[in-house]
Amino acid sequence: MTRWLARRAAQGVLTWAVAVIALFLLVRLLPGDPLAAANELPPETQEALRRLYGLDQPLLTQLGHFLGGLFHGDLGVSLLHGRPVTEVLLGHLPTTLLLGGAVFVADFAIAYWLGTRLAARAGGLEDRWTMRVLLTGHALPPFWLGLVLVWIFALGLRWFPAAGVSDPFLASHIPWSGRALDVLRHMVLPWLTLVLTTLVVPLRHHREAVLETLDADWVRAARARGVPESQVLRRHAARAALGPLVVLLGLWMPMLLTGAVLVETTFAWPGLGWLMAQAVGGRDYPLATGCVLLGAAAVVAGNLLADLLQRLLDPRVST
Amino acid sequence: MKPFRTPGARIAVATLVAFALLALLAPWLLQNPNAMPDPVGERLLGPSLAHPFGTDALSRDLLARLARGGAISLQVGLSAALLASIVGGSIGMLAGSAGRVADTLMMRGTDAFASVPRAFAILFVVAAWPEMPLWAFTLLLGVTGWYAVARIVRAESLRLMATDALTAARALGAGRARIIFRHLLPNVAGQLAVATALGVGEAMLLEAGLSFLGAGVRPPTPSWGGMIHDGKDVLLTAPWATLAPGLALTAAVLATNRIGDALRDAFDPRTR
Amino acid sequence: MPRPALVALALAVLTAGPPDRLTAQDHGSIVIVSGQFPGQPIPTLTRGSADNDIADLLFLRLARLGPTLRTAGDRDFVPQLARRWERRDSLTLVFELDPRARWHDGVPVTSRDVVWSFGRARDAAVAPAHATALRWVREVVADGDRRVIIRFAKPYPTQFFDATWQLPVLPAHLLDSIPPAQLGTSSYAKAPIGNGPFRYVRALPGQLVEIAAVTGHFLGSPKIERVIYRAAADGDARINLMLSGEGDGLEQLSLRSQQERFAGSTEFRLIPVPSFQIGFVLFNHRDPADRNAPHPILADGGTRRALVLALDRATIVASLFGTAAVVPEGPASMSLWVRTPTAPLAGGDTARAAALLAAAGWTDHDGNGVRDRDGRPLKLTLIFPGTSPSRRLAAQLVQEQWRRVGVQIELTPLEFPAYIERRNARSFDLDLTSINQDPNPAGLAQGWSCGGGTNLGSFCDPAVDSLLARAEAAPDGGLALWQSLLRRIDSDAPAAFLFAPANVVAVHRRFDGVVLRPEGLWSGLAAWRVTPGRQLPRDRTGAQ
Repeated sequence: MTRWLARRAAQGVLTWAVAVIALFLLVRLLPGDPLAAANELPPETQEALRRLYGLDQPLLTQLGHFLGGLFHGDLGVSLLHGRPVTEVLLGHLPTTLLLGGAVFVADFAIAYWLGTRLAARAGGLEDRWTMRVLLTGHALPPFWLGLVLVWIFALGLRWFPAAGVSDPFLASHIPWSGRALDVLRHMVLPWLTLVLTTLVVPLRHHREAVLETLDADWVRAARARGVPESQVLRRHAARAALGPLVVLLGLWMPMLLTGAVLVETTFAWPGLGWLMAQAVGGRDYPLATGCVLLGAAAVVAGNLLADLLQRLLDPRVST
Repeated sequence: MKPFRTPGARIAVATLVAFALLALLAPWLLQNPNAMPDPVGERLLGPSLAHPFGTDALSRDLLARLARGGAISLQVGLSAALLASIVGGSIGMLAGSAGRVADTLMMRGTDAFASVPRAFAILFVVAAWPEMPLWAFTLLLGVTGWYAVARIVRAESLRLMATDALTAARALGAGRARIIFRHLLPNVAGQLAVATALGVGEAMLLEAGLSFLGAGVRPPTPSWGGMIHDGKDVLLTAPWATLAPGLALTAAVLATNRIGDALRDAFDPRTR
Repeated sequence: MPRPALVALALAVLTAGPPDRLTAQDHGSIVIVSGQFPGQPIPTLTRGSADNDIADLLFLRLARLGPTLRTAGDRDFVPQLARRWERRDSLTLVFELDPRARWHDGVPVTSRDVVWSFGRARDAAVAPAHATALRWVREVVADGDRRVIIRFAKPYPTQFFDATWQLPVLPAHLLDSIPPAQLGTSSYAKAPIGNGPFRYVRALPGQLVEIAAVTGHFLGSPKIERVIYRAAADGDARINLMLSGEGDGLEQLSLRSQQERFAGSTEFRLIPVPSFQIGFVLFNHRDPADRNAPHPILADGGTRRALVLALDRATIVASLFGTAAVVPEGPASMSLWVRTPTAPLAGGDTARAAALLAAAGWTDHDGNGVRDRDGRPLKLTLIFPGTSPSRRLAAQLVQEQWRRVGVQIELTPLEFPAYIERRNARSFDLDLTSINQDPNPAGLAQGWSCGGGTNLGSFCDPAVDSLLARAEAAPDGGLALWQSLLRRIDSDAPAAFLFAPANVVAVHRRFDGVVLRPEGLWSGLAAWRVTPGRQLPRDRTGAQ
């Protein structure tokens, strides 16, 4: 197991390194450059700015600088923010992880519980309507649901704030619990939007997997032995069907970081997804590279985690 | 046809057929979807007899646009989702049944591909191929959307490969093709159907989002996703502009989901 | 506790307003909602309108533009750091600093600061944009602590504008020791110290910047104690923040669809402020496939004029902006002080357009609805940034209007940087563009003179160039010359000038003495106050 993990981790780092170099080049080969916003300046001024940002150097030289910096944890200075990329990324990481984490936990907890329940009632009224509602949520763009929720709960009822992370007028002396509550209030609507639009993916896959196992011979055997149906369902079938859920758990890792662009935008939630969209849109090469580098790490780590969990669940599987 | 015995599945098929027929017949039945009778006075009219679904911000009839938009949305959504499932399913089953070295290579390759954000990859290809036709764009959506399917199918395949039935089959000298088609495919068909149904709506919306960046269909050609995106600016002041395409898109997704279920049942007679 | 009760309690706790707010008898506060986060509100480092908004409140110039926005001469300028000035000769201006001016750390503002700031800004390696703007400044010298002498390389009417508008003054005593390249990451950049009516308080990266009134400021203490500048990249999120009662000021609501969201609200006033923005369809005079060849369709003046006449620009403006925009004559925004009163034929004249097209040889020979000439259809592609709502709508409107006279337009929406690249490479037939003009009409030379740096349509009319040269040198400011220049450009039809929108600003009704300036929207904030008795809870929370 340890050997497997070491080998697998080494592969992961290698994959990540390849992805990072490819992404570094890809970011810079996208059409347009960071001076798009400076379009109205005379050409000679734009040339001077290009020199100032080091954009006039050959791509490979830039790659060399970047890799050199990467070893020292230096990702360069963001062109849009004028601050070190690591500082900008770290500034946005807490908000991202908070929202992403809350959605992650809700999605998988509900998917496991409700997916098992619906599989046992497959084809029934509850199953059909839950699926319809959640598939509708998934089929609509998140900004649609987000705006409707804002319209009801922020503009109409004024129960929750319309956007942002915290109340700017919260006095500085109030205790941490008050601050936490304030952030939670701001998080409710984006969280709800994300859960309602993403939940169906793990739920639907898990429901399908449970349905498959409910039909497996050994589950039928357990049933024949007189094991009560609720136990068959929760003890045997649901656990045996964890495969797809575990894979999705790994696949959700990058979504935690950069997947919620549309919702982050609708709610002005300063997260990494929004930051990356902004960096790519403004061709802020250092910042965009920093974001995709984190995203790639999440992809690799997530899949490593999924493989690990799968081995733990079913030791016969060799990966 | 065997899979479509249940009324639900029949309604689902009927829905998709109706959308397709509407799109085909729209040029004879409805007004020009791009006509702007009066962009000042007839802007954002609510539903009425003349305009059953109302008009958009440029006074265009939303029913005509909805009918025409279906052709593009269904084509892009269904083809891209199917393609993603076929590519992902094949890679997943191959990786899951091909042994450690091949599996490692394929999965690390998948990881590397998956590390490139989808919108990013599409932006790049679109920049390199500015006049990209719709079929190529659909292909592009498909080949950038298979990673999750591949991972799920591979995990299931690995699990199945370790079961007694398959160990026995391999001991009896069953070939790769036989293992995949007789043993793996029937068991992952359900997951593939789920992934396809979920992928349809995603592809339709992605098409619209990317058409703002120069990919996909160009304005003024209507598509459901495009109508939803265009209606975003007036979502709360003229909700009908997004409601009709939103409902159509949802109906298409629900129908695909139902058809996927029916096909899965037909494929794997053991289930229920 | 039963589950529903728990849920109800949780809801009650979460939905209760934030507790425990400071109370004080301060004058008021304002929340400005913006599309950008001002990460670098320091002159020479500013990277966008948000940076400039905050920099305008933190830093003063020697003088500012007056309400006429006239950039020629010095008659209409208003004293800021300089309490008076004099012209010594055609090349020399002398400014006398206000002795009461102080930096926020208490150190007096001296002539050394001014000299140092010009030195920094004129260094092309540090501030290329400023260096270009200040290229005619020959030297800046101090004469004692309070007097600054600025010498120019040549006589021209907007010397004063360049000396004042282009550069707010920076604190030499704090910045002298910081190498220019490190200014952006220095501790000074984290808490800039300025000399304006507001001082920097704090920033939450990506979310907000807070600034507070400087009590006893020499130009008068602001009555708004506290300014929160909140960032929300999404247009809907910004309007939501206003309508949910969390915001007080929001600009850029030019579109009808944006104004309509405020229709049901009694809390806000919508104020149109003339802007420097102008939108037009630029015609490429050169063949995009071969830049040395004339454009096969658009090089012909008659065809270009026909295209302009085929457009009902009044309808385009009314559909997109309602009453918040006008059709310009030539490249003149609403705020350009030399603009002409009205544009002729804003409603178009399709009959004349058709006649002109036919005269140029374009007729629909094959009856397919598209005109053709020698077997070539009258077909053009139009590029525009697909994510701009106004241009997305405008593009479809012009396409439809041109279709009616037999011109086929292919729309090519592009991602913004890709759009700019196509534009700069001059690889387009038609470009639906929108720019922010320089307040100084001399800036027109960049876009419309034969050798202009941003003349991307390769338009060239010697008469325009000679008018430009004469207007720029006219000692009286040259209003009449500038206006004939605009008319000349308009009749040349190098572009179809579609709209000059106002910047529509939503402001909470509780504010009194509201001043919004085209050249720096919030820079008059020091004069605002909250009407007594109309304070909201947030007006009573003191600055931190």
